[in-house]
Amino acid sequence: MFLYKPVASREVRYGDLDLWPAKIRTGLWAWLLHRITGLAIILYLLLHIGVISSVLWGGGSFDQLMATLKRPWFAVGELLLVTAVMYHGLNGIRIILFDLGIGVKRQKAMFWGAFLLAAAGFVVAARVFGPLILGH
Amino acid sequence: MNRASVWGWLWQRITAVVLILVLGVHLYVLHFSGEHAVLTVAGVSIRLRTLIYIFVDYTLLAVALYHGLYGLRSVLLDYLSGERAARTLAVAAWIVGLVAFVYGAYALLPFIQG
Repeated sequence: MFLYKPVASREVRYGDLDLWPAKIRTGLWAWLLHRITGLAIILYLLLHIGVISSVLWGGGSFDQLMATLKRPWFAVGELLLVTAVMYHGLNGIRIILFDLGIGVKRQKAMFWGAFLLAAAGFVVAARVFGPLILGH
Repeated sequence: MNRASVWGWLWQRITAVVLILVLGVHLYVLHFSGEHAVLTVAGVSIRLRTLIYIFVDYTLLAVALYHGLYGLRSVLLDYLSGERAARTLAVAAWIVGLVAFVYGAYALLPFIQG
């Protein structure tokens, strides 16, 4: 399933995976970041459903909770989350292309492409969330 | 790889492509289309008066839960092994997913009814 995992390397063999491999190469960074962002996003999704469901206790509790979530530290979290979503999506496109047999030999360049596009997305998102983070 | 895991793999790709489109719309509308959306019941209700947004939100709820929980199951299966662990995790993921979908879908109704 993970075609881009460095199967042949001596440090990491398929099915012999550590939580934190001893030697991390480009493909493994891509894989590790994909995993960490994925876990963060599913955790957020479940919290997101919980937060939205506060409307079931009356419109006032939803409005109040949303006002609380506009505080700077929550905005920092949202900025990081949006960036995580962008990286996960872009690297996901990279994985799907590999599955289709496209670009496997250029996997490193494609990782940096996904990473830099996500970094650019971070800058755009920082301009949007910046005012909230600074409390304006 | 057995037949079930080929289907699981394929659905993970299909939901990934759907998510890029639908989550893209969701994030754009809420954060990037000018000002931050007004996050009050009244503000969200205006958006959910349009059929397309009701469709976007329900699709997002279902597809994101499937993709996220299948992914979580895949991560856990890298550290657990055996047919039994795989089956238990699949059942657990379906239960969590269905409960979260029904609860989330129900929680959207007050916005739609305005």
